[in-house]
Amino acid sequence: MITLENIFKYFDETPVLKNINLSFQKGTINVIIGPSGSGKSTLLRTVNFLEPPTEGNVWIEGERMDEKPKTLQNLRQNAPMVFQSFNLFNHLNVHDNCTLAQRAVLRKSKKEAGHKAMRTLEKVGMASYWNRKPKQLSGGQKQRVSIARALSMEPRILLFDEPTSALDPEMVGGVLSTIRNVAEEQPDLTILLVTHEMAFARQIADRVLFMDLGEVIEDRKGADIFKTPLKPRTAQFLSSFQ
Amino acid sequence: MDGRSVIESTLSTTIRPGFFAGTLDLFVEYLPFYLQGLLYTLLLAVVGTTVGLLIAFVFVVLKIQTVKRVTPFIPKNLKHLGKAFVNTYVTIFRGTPMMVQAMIFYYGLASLGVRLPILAAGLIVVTLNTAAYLTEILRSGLESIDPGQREAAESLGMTTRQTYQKILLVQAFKNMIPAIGNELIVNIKDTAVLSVIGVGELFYMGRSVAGAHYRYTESFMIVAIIYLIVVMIAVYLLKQLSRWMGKTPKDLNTSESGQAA
Repeated sequence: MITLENIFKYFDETPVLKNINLSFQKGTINVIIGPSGSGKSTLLRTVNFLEPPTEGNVWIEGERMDEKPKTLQNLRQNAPMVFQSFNLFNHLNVHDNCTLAQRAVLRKSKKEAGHKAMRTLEKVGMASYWNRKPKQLSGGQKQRVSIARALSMEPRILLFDEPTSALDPEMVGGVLSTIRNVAEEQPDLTILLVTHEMAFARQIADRVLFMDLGEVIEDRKGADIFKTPLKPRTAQFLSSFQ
Repeated sequence: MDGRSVIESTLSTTIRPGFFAGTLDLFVEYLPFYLQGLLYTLLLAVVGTTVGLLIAFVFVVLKIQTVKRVTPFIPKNLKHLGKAFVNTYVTIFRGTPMMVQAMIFYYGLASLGVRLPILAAGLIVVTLNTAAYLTEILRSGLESIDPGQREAAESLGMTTRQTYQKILLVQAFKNMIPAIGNELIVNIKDTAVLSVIGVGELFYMGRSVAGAHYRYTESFMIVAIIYLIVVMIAVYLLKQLSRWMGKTPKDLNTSESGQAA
């Protein structure tokens, strides 16, 4: 369960998030859509405090986020993020990408972390690439490894920030089906997904939020927003995907 | 190491006139002195660069540490103090010639009653000087790393310290190996200025031999050739090192086929 309470975010003087109040229930898949610059990625990044909000509170499973190193460590390890640009650790191979934080943050032994890494890499179909360096992988492969890296932390929450936006079209499908498999295998996982893949959002979402100009314009259950958008701005945005 | 008195005892040796004959005679006669000087030069360059690099790692961490809104009062001011110290240090050591630093350091300490062995003084000066340059090299190396690397580490719950130790400094170091190697080569040559306080490195030995026989061109030609050979060997070894550090398995099968999960 994630709660955002009166969240404001300013970059210098520019407001990027304007009074966001949201709760995300445990085990739900929440998709955030909206045009570029609408604040959807910033919203996601305030959840794990990569962008601490200028005002307001973030609560993760009843604990309030703050900038103290201890809090950040405790809450972030439970809510890792999958980035648009993958951000795999360039100097480490696939296996070590998945074990580094397990060892550093969760204090797992080398052996234990290695087992977990290989199990999650199998889930995303990347186990046979365990000793490759990131630069030897395609975009789709990198993104599946970064999903495995996040899952290796055994998180309760997973944050996806436009996970397929930097991919060649033919690789998008593989990553999306990886995300779908993960969601199906771990129904307790709370997922926040920022994406432009409307067809995917429609299939997978328990809830879809449409953001524009730093505000949540429409917040609907399931795929309702696609069938009957209530606000003209939402309809206008969605019509550009037809 | 004072080579002059030793050289004076061999002054009876005749060095033939003429550039080539003279150079050859000096080389044959004084090879042990040149090699002794070379040994000191290499010692200064290698120790100075290595220890300077270790100091630079500490300094760069002090310099780039982030001060957050929530940082408590005392650590916050300690951090500001650390940054100010490193910035001042780097400005002073990069802004003055190493030759002048050596003079102030050696004679300054002597006037305070601290008499350091000359070699130790030389080692300290070259180390402190190198630390300043390498701090800046490491800083630019850290800044050239994609911010996504840091965000990824932090998003997994790693602390700032872990992020630097396990990711950012490792990558910066790898990227910076050519620049660090360059600093070693600069040090091989620039430690010549330490002769000003009497460190018996290659330049000092060359000058001692030259002075003893008034054969400056010949002696410094030998010195130049030794520097050149040593620098060329260092360049070769550094190239091998970066090739070894950057090596990756050959087979790059990045095909996506049959891998969809």
